[in-house]
Formats: sequence, C-alpha cells, structure tokens
Amino acid sequence: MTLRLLSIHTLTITVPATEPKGPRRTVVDRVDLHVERGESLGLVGESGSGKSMTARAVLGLFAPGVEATGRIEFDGVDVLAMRQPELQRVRASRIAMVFQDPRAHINPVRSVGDFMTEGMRDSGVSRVEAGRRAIALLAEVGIDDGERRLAQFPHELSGGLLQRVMIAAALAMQPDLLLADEPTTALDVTTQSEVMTILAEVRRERGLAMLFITHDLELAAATCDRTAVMYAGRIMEVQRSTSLQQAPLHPYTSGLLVSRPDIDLVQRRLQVIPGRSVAAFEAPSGCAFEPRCSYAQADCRAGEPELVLLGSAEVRCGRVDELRGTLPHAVGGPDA
Amino acid sequence: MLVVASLLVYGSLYLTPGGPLSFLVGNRSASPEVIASITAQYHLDDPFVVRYFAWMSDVLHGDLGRSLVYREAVTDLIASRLLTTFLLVSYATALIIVVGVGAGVVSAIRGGWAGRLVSTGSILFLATPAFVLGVVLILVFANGLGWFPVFGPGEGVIGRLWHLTLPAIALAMASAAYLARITRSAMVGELGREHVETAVSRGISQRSIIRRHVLRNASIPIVTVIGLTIGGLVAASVVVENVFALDGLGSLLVRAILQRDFAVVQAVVLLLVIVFVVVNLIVDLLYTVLDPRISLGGDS
Amino acid sequence: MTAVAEAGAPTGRNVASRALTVLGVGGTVALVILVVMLLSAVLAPWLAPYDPNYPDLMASLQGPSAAHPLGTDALGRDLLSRLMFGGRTTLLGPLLVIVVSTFVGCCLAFTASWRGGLTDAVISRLIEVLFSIPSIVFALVAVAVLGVGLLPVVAGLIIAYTPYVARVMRGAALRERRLPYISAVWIQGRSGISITARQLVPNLRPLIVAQAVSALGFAVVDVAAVSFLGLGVQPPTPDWGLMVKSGLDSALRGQPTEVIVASLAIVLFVGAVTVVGDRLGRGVTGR
Repeated sequence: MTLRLLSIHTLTITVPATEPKGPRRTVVDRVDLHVERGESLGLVGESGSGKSMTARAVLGLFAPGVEATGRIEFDGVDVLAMRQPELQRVRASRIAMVFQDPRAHINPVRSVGDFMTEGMRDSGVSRVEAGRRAIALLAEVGIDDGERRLAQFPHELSGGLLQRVMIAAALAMQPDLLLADEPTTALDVTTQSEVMTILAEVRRERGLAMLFITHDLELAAATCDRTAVMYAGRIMEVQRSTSLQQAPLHPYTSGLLVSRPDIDLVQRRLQVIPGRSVAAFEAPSGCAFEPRCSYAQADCRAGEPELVLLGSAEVRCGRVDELRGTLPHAVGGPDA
Repeated sequence: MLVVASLLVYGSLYLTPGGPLSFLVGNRSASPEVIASITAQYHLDDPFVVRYFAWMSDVLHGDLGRSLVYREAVTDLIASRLLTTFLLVSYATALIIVVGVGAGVVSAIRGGWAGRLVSTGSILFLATPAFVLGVVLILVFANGLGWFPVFGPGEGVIGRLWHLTLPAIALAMASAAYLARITRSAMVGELGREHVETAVSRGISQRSIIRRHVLRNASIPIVTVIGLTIGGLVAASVVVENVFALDGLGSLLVRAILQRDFAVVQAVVLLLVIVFVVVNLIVDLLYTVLDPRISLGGDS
Repeated sequence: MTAVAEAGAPTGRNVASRALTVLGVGGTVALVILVVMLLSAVLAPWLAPYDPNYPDLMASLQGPSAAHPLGTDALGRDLLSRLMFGGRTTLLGPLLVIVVSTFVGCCLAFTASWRGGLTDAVISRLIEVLFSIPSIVFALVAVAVLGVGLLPVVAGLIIAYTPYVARVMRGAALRERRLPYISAVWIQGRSGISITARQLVPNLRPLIVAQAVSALGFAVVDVAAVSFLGLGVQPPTPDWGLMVKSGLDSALRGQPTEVIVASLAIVLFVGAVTVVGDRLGRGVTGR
C-alpha cells in the first residue's frame, strides 16, 4: 500500500474553558481522516462542527490556547510533532491553504503582486522571476492582464477576482495538498461556480490533492471524490461522493440531503432537521446526533457508536445495518 | 485654517478689559510720545479689519513688529532662540520615536512580563508632567550625581547636545509613554488579523511577518500619534525650557507674557500654530504612502 | 443598545460591587485614591492641621516629624496643610475646566450632528481650527490677555479642551443617530432636544464620562505646569505646581521633602485618573 498523502489519526482539539478553573472544551473529537495523492476530500459540517479547526490543524495553525493531540501524518511525518523550521518548510512548499474571506485574508495595504510573490521571494526566488511566475499563475486562474493586476491593490478587485488571486498564490510553490476553507461561501452563486471550475482545472493539471471544507453538502458531493460528514466534532460518515448522494448511510447525512428543496417539486413546508447543531463539548453521552435523529432508539443513548467500515465507506451509527439502503436522499424518499 | 487661527491670535489682544491701549502701556510710564508710538505701531486708530490686514502683510513680509521691551525687531529675537528650541524638539522627537515605538513593539511581541512592565511604566511616565520629570532629573542626575550640567544651553555641537540631554528626556518621556501604549495596542490589534494568519500559513518567518504585515499596517495610527505629538512638542518645550533655564522660544514667550510685550506673544504663538499645522500636513501626506486605500484630498 | 439601568438603591455594597465589575481591582484602588485626594482638597479648611500660609521661620526646611508629618518648606509652612490646600487649585481648577468644556463640547457636538448641513460644517471648521493650537498656548494667551492667576488659566483651558470633547462626541453622536431606535422615537414626534436629552445622552453617558476622566489628567498637568511657570496661581497661595518650583529651590539647598511630596501628589493623582479613565474607556468599547 502506498503511503497516503495525508493521514489524520485520533485528532482531538480542545479550547480553553470558559470558567477559570473549569475543564477544557473539546471541539474536535478523535477524528480519523485520510486523503490520497491527487484526490479531493470534502469535509462537510454545520458551524461548530469543528471542520475549520481540523483543516487548520493540518498546517499546525492554532490560535493561542488551542491544544491538539493525536497524529497528523503528512507524507509519513507527524505535523503535530514537527519543530518550527520543519513546519515552516512544509507550510511554504508542501501544503497551501485558501481561506474563506479573501478581503480579510489579504493584506489591504500591500499590492496584489506583493501578496502573490511573498512566498516565492521568501524562498530565495528573485523579484523578477517571482513576478514572471505570478503572471503565469494568474493566467492559469483565468486572469489575463496579470501585469496590470500585480500593481493593483486588493480593494480594487472584486471578491471573485480576489479569491482567484488567493488560489493562484496558493499554487505558487507547487504544493502537494490544498486546504480550502469555505473558499466560495463569501461569493455569489455565479462566481462560486467559476471558482469551483478553476479549482477543478488546476487540480487536474497538477495532480493536486485537496481537503475541501464547506457547510454545503451538495457542493462538496458534486465536486469532490469523497465526502466526509462531521457533526459535534466527530466524523459521522465518509463515502465516495456519488454513492453518498444516492444512498446515504447516516441519518444526519440523509437529513441534510432531504432538506434541499427540489426545483421540480412543490413543497408546502421545507424539511428540516429539528433542534440545533452542537459542538463536541455540548454533546450528550451516547450518540451525539441522537436528540435530533428521527431514527433514534433507546440503545442510541447508551453508548457512542463506533466508526464502522462498510466496504470503502465509514459510518458512525448504531443502526447502520438496519437502515442501510432505506435512508432518503431527496425529498421524495429513498427511491426518488 | 491658518488664517482663522491667526485671526484668533491677533484678535485676542482686543479682548483685554480696558482696551488694548491700556494693556499695552501696562505698568510703563505713559508719556504722550510713548502712547503715540504705540498707537502708530499697532494701528490703534484704524478699524479692526484694517489693523489685521496690516499685521498680516507685515508678517508675510517677514516683519513681525518690534518688541516693546527689548526694542529689537521681533524677528531677530526669535531667530536667535530658534536654534535651541529646534535642537531640543528634534532631540526629543528622536527619543520619543525610538523609545515609544521600540517599547510598544517589544511589549506587543513578547507579552508576558515585558508587556506588563511597559504597561505600568507607561502609566507612570504618562502621569509625570514634563516639568516634574525635569525637576527630578535635575536633582538626581545633575545635582546629585553630577553626570549632566544643570542649567544653560551649552556651546558647540557636542556641548549643546550634552546640555540638552536632560531637557530632551524630560520633554520626551510622557509622549514616549503614550506612543508606546498606542503602538502596543495597534500591534496587538494587527496581530489578530486574518491576513496575518495567511502569512503564517505560508511558512513566512515571524520576523518578516512582524515587519511586513503587523508593523506596516499598525503604522497608520502610530504615525498619526507621532504627528500630533510633534506638533504640540514646541509648545510643550515652553515649560521644559523654563525648568532648565534654556534660552529658547519658550522662555521668550513666558517673559513676553509677563511683561505684556504683545508683538512677541503674537509672533511666537503664530509660529507654534504654524508648526502644528505643517507637521499634521506632512502626516496627512504620509498616509497616502502608507495606506493605498486613502487618496489625496479624500477621507479614508 | 440598552440604556443604563438602575440596579436598585445605591447601597454601599451595591456601589462597591458595581465599581469592581466596571473598573477591576486596580481601577477601584485608583478610584479610591482619587476620591481621597479630592475630598481632602475640598475639606482642607477643616482637615488641615495648620494654616497653610502661616510662616514659622524657626521650623523651616524640616523633614517629616511628629509635629509636621510631611515636613516644612523654606518659610516654615507645614507641607501637609499646603498639600491639602494646594489640591484646591490643582485639582478643583481642572475639574471646573473639564466640567465646563465637556458640557459645551457636548452641546456643540450634538447640535452639529443633529442639525447637519451648514451648522455642522461651521462647527466642524471651528473645532478643527481650535484643535490646531496646543492647549498650553491657550492657557498662555489667556494669561497674556487677562493677567496671571488661576481663573485666566481655567478660562483658556476651557476653550482648549472643548474641541477635543466636541470632536469625540460628534463622531459618537453621528454613529448613534443612525441606529433604528432614534428613528423610532423621532417618528413618534419627539423634538430634537427631547431626543437628545432623553435618548442620546444616557446612551452616550459612559463615553462622556470616560472621555472626561481621561481629560482630567491632562488638565491637571496643564494647570500645574502653568503655575510652575509662575503664570497661574500666585504665591503665597499653595498649589502643587508652585510647590514643585519652590521645592526645587529647597532641594538644591539640601531639603528635598517639598519637591518629593508635591511631585508624588501630582503623579499619583494623574496616574490614578489615567487608570480609571482607561478602565471606563474599556467598558465603553466592551473589550
């Protein structure tokens, strides 16, 4: 078996307690994930599910006070155990991240060119060469007047354009893995599809692997090879996207799929999952999703279900064998 | 705006109870010739507007009037003292920027004990007026330890700088403390911004990040405060000069006030205002360099 | 946006706990220091052990002793008494400056922000012009025109500080005006003055107070500095600025008590005011 590009084992992330002497709060709970070379994994969850923190953990990006345990193996080496110099090398040339709000994540007082070439120049590339490469990268993401753009400042560009710049900059050092934290959430739908197309093209040309964070299950399943669904800091389901859309294995996934309105169907009331999503430290003992689950039974409260392997899929549900194949994936029902 | 300010300065003379004439004559003997000359010099027989314009045109021609006390042209009086004040203010400015920004940056990056030290230190110095600090410095370092001379501006370049060290420190510390706090809070604010996270995620070194992203972005409020501080420094030097018996503009102003030598007062105050306005203009220009979102002539 | 609520009758415990939450431990200590100093200034005629102007040349330039806890100055006057009486000019003068300038500044700011248009433009220009002149200059010019003494200095400083207040409050008032609850009351037909008094002011009160407290520190420094120059309070009236001056002479003659005492008093007061102003300011921005 070839070494996986990214292999996350039992990742647990805690944040400081609200009370001075209280216990730390868990936001990511023993997560296992992996990404093969060149494949894209979508990580889906509502806010508070811990997905963003998981992505940041891969780069060792922790806010002050945040602690993580477990192993994050990138190309065989544990990121969490790395010392600063090695971590910086990995961040500079092996893994790149694209963030949600490009306006906030790009320094407004420095030029676009400065933003694009910063990583390259820091690695010793000459200013002229870096500029040349930057223009080529911009062309790759569909920005043709690169030379003019390099001289401009972020506030002169639209959100969509800025996000393309961010993507181009992320590719500058030829990374093996791209982490995308809700890259299209701040954009309108048309721009969203443009950006997603660019991401797909770029990935294909470079054989780039991607971990795609989003709250939009449909988007993830449509664009990624595999999709993982997170709830309350835990992985609930991981499947190949095509089969996940046809036959979800977890009630939560099913609920998310069913709540999408169908453009052809007239609905009097939209389907929702009752209740609100919780963070890991707010979850009850037993199955975290149980309070909101329409398939819950007494046993579900007893103990937290294990992550079970079903072929290439993984599911964390006590009733997975019974429910298999019966869970609806659209408003009409399981066979819609 | 300068016009209005000068109008105010000039006009305030006429607010004195008893009228400007009695004010100007003051305690001096009032022979008819003296009254006549004062009347002529200050155009007291003409309506206010005429007087004002006469004064303004004189100023623009470099004629700031004659001092009643010294019987010299005010311009000469000012020129001779300009050097001391200029050196003092420049010296203090350098100290303010180096100490203020330095302490602020260090305390923002290090945090922990350095941060607390700078915090308490800056409150202490902020609360110490320049004249109190000056007095303390004299007693401890000049009188007590004898490291520095006590009074006077000294001679030659080195001599002058030596003499001006204690006064410059006295003048600078309160402003340096204020600048340190502003710098610190500006930097801490910038450290938390998202674009800093982006830079970290690219493996850029801590030092580069501080320099290119944190400090650079924080420089806008920092430069603003520096500008305001310098603008007011010349005025603040008035007090310090008095403490250290320096012959700068400050002592000239104080004596002129006490002796009701109004031409001098008007001229010096006008000068103070001009300095303030010019410095702030420079700061405004700097903004356009520092923050590309701001364009000349517009508000950000 | 909630208006400041009354938390029941202001009992001792109530006030103390409110103070601790808003100001923190350091801030409360600072506030206590401030109150003590202000009270001793106000109550000086009854609290001071000696007549501050009573010279006793036999006892001149003495250090702390049983008879004179803080020592005496060059003319044998008791320093503790002079300190307490000195607070009246050094502290109460600036207090007057702050109160008046805050009031006038707020009036100007609210009028400008409410009326907008020409009124706003004129007032803003005026503020800008006054702003360009350092505060000391106002005090000095006032002394030049009106003669030496505390009152001219106070008058000058009032004019100097008003633009600071006006600027801050104008910005705050403009921001506050945009909030929906103002429009709601306006639609009900209330007049501009009524809205300003009943809605705007209570909601901006924390900012007004924080701003005023911080400015008090600067005002004290300015007044003391002008007195030090000999242009403010005149001897023999006790004043901390004056005491630093005469204390310098005494110190050069070997007796540092006066200058130490007067300097410490100034630093302590301004420091405490800064801390309290800081904490209050933090409460406003909610950090």
